[in-house]
Amino acid sequence: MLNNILVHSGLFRYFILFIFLSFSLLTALAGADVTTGICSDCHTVHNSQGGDQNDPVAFKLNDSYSGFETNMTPNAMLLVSDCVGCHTSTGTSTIVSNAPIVFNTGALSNPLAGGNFTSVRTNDVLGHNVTGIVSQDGSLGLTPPGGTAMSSQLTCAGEYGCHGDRSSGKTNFTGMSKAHHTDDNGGITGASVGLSYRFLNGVLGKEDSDWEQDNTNTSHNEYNGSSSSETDTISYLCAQCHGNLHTWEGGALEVGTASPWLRHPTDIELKSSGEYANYTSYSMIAPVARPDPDTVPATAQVVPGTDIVMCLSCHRAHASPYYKMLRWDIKSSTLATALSGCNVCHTSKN
Amino acid sequence: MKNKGIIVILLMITMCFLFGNAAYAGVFLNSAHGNSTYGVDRNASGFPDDYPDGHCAHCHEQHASIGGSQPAPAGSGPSKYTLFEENYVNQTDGICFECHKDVGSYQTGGSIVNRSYSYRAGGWTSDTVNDVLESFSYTSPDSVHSLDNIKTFITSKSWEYTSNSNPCNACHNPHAAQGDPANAPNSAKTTGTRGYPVSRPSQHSTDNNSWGLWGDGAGEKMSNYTTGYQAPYRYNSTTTYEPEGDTSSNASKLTDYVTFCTDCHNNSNVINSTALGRNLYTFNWSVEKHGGGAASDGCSDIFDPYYTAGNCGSYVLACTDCHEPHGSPNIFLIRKVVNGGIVTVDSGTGTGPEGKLNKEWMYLCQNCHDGLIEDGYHTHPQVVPGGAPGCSSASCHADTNDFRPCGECHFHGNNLIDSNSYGEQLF
Repeated sequence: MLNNILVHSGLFRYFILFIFLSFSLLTALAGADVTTGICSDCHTVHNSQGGDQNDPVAFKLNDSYSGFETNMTPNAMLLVSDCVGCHTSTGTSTIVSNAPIVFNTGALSNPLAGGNFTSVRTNDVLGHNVTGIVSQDGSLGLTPPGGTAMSSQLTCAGEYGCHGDRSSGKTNFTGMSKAHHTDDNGGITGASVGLSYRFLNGVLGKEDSDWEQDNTNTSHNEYNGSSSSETDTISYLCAQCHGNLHTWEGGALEVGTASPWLRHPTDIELKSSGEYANYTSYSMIAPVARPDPDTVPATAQVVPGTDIVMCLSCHRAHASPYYKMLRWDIKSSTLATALSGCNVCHTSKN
Repeated sequence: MKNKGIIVILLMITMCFLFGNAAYAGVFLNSAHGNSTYGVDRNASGFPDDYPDGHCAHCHEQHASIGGSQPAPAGSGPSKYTLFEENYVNQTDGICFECHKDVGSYQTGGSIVNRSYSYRAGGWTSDTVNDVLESFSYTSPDSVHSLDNIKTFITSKSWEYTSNSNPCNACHNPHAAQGDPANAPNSAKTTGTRGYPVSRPSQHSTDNNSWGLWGDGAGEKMSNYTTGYQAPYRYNSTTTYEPEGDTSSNASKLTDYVTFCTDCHNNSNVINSTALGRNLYTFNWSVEKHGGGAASDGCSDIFDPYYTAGNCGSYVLACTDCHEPHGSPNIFLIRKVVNGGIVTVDSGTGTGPEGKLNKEWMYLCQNCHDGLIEDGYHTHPQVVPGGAPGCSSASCHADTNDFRPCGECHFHGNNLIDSNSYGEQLF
């Protein structure tokens, strides 16, 4: 959020305050919970300071995406900004004051596990078209592939989002209510938004402390998967919009129940026979989910016959520089590169 | 000594440049489908035009749609194996034929040219058949390798084929098969253009590590099957030989098609033929006269190159010396060109050389067997074992213009003449 506008505006003092307090507040955020710290880092009671309503505390990303500007309109939950406002940076870093940055408005280094929304700013096919970052998909409109039309553009959270409570009427704010304040030191149980993997309501998993910024297979997210119709998997969440593309939601007519599959299956075991048996070293290009993310015996290893194929084996959740949010460049002019993701599992098709 | 060391190092570096890519590429990237220059490249409405050639997405649609819509051909829904079209429908309809045809192919350019074996190995370049669909579209009295019958048979074996399998995959591994010649569809094979298109059905697997190509490795050549293989001449030539057109016979140039074909066609497998209305004859190629069994007639009635080569009585033919693999304008998949000569056999009972009825098979046999031409018929025993009349008797040839078709006695697996044992194989 460091940008020229801040420096040359009255917001600068709040920015300095924000940075200063962040060190004391957000160092406890590895588990994404904010159970200690100063309230005013995130909240503003009157959206003004010293009675001057023309000098609001709230801020938002400006229309040109070059920086932030004050927001005269108070946010719900007395928040100083919305999801995009807090998880966006005009700098290159993808972790700022220990907060994950999912949208760098310019160049960036080391994208996080979900990918970075910067890609979808220039091309709809590179990411999810989330409100506040980019307008709705010019080709797909409001209809997610494999699903039915939504009545509103995708949001970060709430009824039309992925994070938080997705019940009818829920918004970015109300859908995430209390989530950041939940103490999840007892583990991810899925019992509430705050106790769900990455605030994806009901989804289980194990959260990497640096959101995979270091992109190494020795420390990474552990996604929950299932070879039955469990609803606490990362892929099941995707299927809430893209149902026909998911093994258990799509069912026999859309995906099939066994090989030969009609669509590439997700939430099934990686086979332990044939070429699949050779996928034994966890790949950050095509990772697998686990049947129990909390009891993975060896993080850097894959166990064919046990570990699970998931949507995120091929796709990033937010966006990626590659066609259809894939984790590798499927359109690379170098064929071996274009196949590199496929070959992680299909080891003999190289 | 120092200079020698430098030379060795330079040679090693050169080798890295020359073979570095080849060492990296796996079976698929070395296949015709997976070739980055001329591999699969679907051109269809709704399908991206910038996937690299050879990418799996050209055939496999991961979600049976792109951006929520199904690219052409938009069928009734997703297809098995995530293919863009049904894997197999019938003799002339299925995923392979969506591209392997000369008109309306989804391959960029609209056509894939694939030639007959007579063209590619036999050098008969005037053959107008130019695509696989056409090869499988012959109708009676011509012949085709029946895909329905193949599918029925392979699914009866424990070879990991199922009712969903494509019978083309009985012989071809789509993730491994190479062109032969490779990327030279309008030329006969040459030493520099060889590839290996087949994989043994008995080794079928979805794992390329288990189901590799057949013929590309040591131990998979006709020279490994027998010391008695003599390559036939190319079309209209007495100086060049199949399959590469080189000037000397080399059994190591030909895939061991005997081992390949006898995975199915042997003395135990029961294979029904819808076209023939019966099961195919079973046979043991190791004892057939044209196979591994001794042929007693010597060299007196054999044409070159077999006569001159001087190995008479011990020759072992490869199946492809006489048969086309896909389809043929002749019956029984007999090639249009055998040992350099044209063959026309529409029924086996039609008019043959010299206008004589029932001599049609001679159009095939005479390309190697000299005696048939000189005498109009070859010398048969007066009496077959058991005392029954032999073929030279009036019961066989009551009229010198009336011959019994060769195929009545000389067919795979037969040792009987009019139900009487001849005492040895007749083919």
